[in-house]
Amino acid sequence: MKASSPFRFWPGAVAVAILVAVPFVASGYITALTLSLLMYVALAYGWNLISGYTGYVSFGQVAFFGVGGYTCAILAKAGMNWLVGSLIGGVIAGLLAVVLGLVMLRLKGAYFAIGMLGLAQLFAAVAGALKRVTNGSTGIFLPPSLSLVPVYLALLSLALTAVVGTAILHRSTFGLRLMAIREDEEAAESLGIHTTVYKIIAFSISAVVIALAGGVMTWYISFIDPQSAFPAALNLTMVIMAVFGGPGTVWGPLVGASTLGIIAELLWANYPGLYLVIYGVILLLIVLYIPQGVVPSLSKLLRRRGAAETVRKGRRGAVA
Amino acid sequence: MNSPGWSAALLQVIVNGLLVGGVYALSAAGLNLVFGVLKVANIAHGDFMMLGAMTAYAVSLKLGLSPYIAMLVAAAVLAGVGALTQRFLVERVIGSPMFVSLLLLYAVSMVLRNGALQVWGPTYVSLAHDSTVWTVGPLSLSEVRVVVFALGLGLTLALLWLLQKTAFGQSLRATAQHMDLAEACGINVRRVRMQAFALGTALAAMSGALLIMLFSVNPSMGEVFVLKGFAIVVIGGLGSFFGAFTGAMIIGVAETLTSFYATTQLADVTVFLIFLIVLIFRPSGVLGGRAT
Repeated sequence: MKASSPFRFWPGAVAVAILVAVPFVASGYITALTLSLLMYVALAYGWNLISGYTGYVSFGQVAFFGVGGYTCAILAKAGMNWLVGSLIGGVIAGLLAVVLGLVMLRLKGAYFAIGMLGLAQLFAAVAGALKRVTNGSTGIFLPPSLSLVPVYLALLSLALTAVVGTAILHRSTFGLRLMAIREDEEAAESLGIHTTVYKIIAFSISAVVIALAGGVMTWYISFIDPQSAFPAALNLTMVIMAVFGGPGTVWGPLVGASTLGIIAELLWANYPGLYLVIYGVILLLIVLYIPQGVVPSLSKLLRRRGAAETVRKGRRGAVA
Repeated sequence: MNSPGWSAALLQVIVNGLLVGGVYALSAAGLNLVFGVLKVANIAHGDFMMLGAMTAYAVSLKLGLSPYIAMLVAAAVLAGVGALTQRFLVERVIGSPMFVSLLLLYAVSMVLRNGALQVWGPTYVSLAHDSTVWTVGPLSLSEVRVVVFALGLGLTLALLWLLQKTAFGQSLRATAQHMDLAEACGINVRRVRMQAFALGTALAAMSGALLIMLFSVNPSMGEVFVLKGFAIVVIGGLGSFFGAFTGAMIIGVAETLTSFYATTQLADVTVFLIFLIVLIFRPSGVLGGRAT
């Protein structure tokens, strides 16, 4: 990596090396915990892409988690390799998102948010109704995955790709245009940005990332039904993680997913119902007190202690 | 099935849909009011409905009160909850981008829904009771449905009267039209916002309380009802109370028709499709503006 890139090479390389080593050296519990965190990282980055960068708040991206999950489950049941099944699920979700995006992304602001909420419910209803394909509410059982390692490595690659991809996007023309849509869509359009195309691409990539996570997780859990495919809890989780860290930033979702992910895993084990209430309260507090997220707030704080001129550069600033 | 029998059944289904529509109209009026005055899309509206329904159920059962009295108790309790929610949470994001208020109310919705699931569990509750059935020509009308419809309609009209004819209503409408000018005219807009939100949640509570006299609901009902509420509001055009009333009737009928001729699950799909189609072909009513 070049010096100008948002990565410092050595810390990044060490972190990746440690993450790769985890399933081989750490205990089963630590590996399973890290695996969950990697899933959260992928989901938070997926959500961040559409909602953080373009400002289209989606409360239904979990719909694509289910699409990926079902595709993987159905293909694996038919004898296909789970990884190939998951990749196909990602492709299907991406194409589906293009078609749905043509409709959904015409809705603005609150209507998009509510529409996506409805879309996730629609998907769950369809999955329940298509009994021949999805086995309805009984669900599909898969052979148990015997080793954590392949699943872990698949999620690690997905999470890494999402982080690196976002870092590249953040500094690209494409990323700048997405942010322009977020700041003022009409102005962006009048500057000649074909906003519909950009929104649909972002929506589609977001769907692919989330669907890939859904496919791999379904193989890991060895079971899928409409409830496990489209959990409202997971939707809240990806929103809160990205918002906690800082929506529309490179490192925000990583910070959010790793800190809140650990809390989620601890709470979930002991208080399975209560943790969603606690999550809701955390989200309330973030929105009220640090609506920009932890990462921008911290970097602002650090910069304020530095040279005064860097402060003047503005509140949003380059986070990385 | 012969032709007259078929049309009688259809007529019955449509009438039932219209009767349910009265309850929906009441709920949609609350949603409209909050958006009009606060410029905030209350995506927790369905959860306030749920709290109203659960409160009415608890009050009616524990204290042995009539469901109608329980409805008033629920309205009073939820007006308080609404006032507090507005004062301490929503008020702080007034004027912020849509992004912020959406996330805030999403969080409120999650806390209410999952909190209610903790307290009451996922079981369904209902205050439905047997009532006289009147036969009018080919139709049979159950008393409770008619009374619930009349109450829904009456309360919606009472709200309209309040908004149009009273000084309080005038201050609400002035704030809805132009917040800064209203403030310049000496209206305490902060207080008006709190009153509007409290009134909105009270309306939601009453419609929830009326609803459980017809159906059974559980703490997750908000998930479906928020979409229903917005579908109704967009059909009529946001901010229009008469429009929302028409929307409520359309949704009520569309829903009962789908449930009758297909399945109940599909009824929610119909509502969603209506929501999408209206927004796409009549985008002039879109409230979004800037999405950030």
